Amino acid sequence: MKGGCSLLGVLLAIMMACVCQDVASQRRVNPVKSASQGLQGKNENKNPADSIDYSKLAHMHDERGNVILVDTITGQEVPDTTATPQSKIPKMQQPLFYAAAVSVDVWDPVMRLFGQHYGLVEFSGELNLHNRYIPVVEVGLGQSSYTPGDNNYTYKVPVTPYVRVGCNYNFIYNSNPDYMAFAGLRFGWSHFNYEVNDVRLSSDYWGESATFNLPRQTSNVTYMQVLFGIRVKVFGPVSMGWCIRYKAKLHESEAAYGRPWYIPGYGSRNGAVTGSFAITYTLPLKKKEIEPAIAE
Amino acid sequence: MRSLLWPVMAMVTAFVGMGFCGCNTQGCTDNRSALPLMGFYSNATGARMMLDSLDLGGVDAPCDTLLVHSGQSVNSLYIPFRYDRDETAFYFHYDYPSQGLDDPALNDTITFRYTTEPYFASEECGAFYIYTIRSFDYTTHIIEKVEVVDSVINNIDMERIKVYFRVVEPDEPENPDNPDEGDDAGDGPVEEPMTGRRGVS
Repeated sequence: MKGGCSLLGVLLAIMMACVCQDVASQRRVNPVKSASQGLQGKNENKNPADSIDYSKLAHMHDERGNVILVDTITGQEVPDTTATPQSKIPKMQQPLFYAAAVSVDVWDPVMRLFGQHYGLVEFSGELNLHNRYIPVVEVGLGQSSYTPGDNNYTYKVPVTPYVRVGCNYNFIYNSNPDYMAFAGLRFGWSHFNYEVNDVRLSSDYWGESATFNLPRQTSNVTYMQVLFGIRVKVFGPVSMGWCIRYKAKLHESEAAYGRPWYIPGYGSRNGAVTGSFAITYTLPLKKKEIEPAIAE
Repeated sequence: MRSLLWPVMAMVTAFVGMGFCGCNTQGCTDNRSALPLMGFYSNATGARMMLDSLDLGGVDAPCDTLLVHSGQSVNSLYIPFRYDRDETAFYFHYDYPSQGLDDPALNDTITFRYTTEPYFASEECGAFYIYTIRSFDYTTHIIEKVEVVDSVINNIDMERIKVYFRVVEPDEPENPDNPDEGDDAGDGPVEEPMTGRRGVS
């Protein structure tokens, strides 16, 4: 019995030793208060002399009253953004009805000098809103009389009016209004007649020849143009500009004897890109409104 | 300096624009007239076949001019229709004397009846007549059958008429090791294009 008690005591001693070792191996965590917890929002390194004393800074004011700080070492002038917290940046500097303009497109007359066989002239009118949004109406006259030297027909379209409407967007609306870089969209419609005459056929094998005219046909075509262009003031109210136009037909009426080659306003059905070169006369509608830079 | 930038950009844009406009003409990628394209096929296999001893010409052609002479290898052919008539006929003479096919009595004739209509295709391809085949008939000496795939003949370059000839296939391939070489499928010349049965009028 005495031996059994001593054995039980040894077992208890071993179990106590194991429990104490597990407790000793755990990580000790002390509840230490964060050093910065009570100092958040405070500059611990701030000295009373660090405050900006504007009276000691070299500074000046621009024409809008903005404070311009001057680096006395380099001479560099830097706008003081902290001094103009209430300054307003105007979204659009130009008035709503900024200008109206009329243009003449001389692309077709010039291209006819270089061998183009269609087109006459085009005029357009536009209303410039904020020097940013520019609704446009384009009207023109198209005509063609073409006998290709290496082919067997004469294609004719009498003088036919056409119209396009759309809008331009001026990317540099807050810059110098003497310059414009814009993208635009146009929708056009053309209703016209066309003829293919003096068609000459010959068959070397059968020894036959034939000459005939195709019946006169009428066509309706609607189309769109996506354009990119620039315009530069040349002198006074006159400016000039180029335009590159990507064109695509939206609808074209059926043609029993073949579809038209030249569509007034759209141009040749070959290719998807055309251009324009416009001389523009601008009529200002309202002077520029100078908005105060700093709200009083 | 900035004032010079815009005119320079304008000039560049102008030249780019002119360049685009100068690339508009694509040329005529189809025919400049409406020419029916006729193809030759083996009735036995349905495969295209090459004929090298065929005389083919238009009936009543000036000076009996031929479109194909014996000695030319052809597997398809443009056959011009007449402008001033509503039907055109073509005859086939088979110049195969070793097989007894050169008898004029075995000539075949195909006659097409059609209507014509003027048509303007494009700036480059021009204007011409297009034909709509209303009916056709043919003799069946060597020709087994004729198919018109599309009755409207315009300048689009596609085969619209198929002529199937009676052809007897060889009993055994010439090269037993590679029997595929004896097949007359494809565009290669046929050793024995027409043998055996005679056509029926």
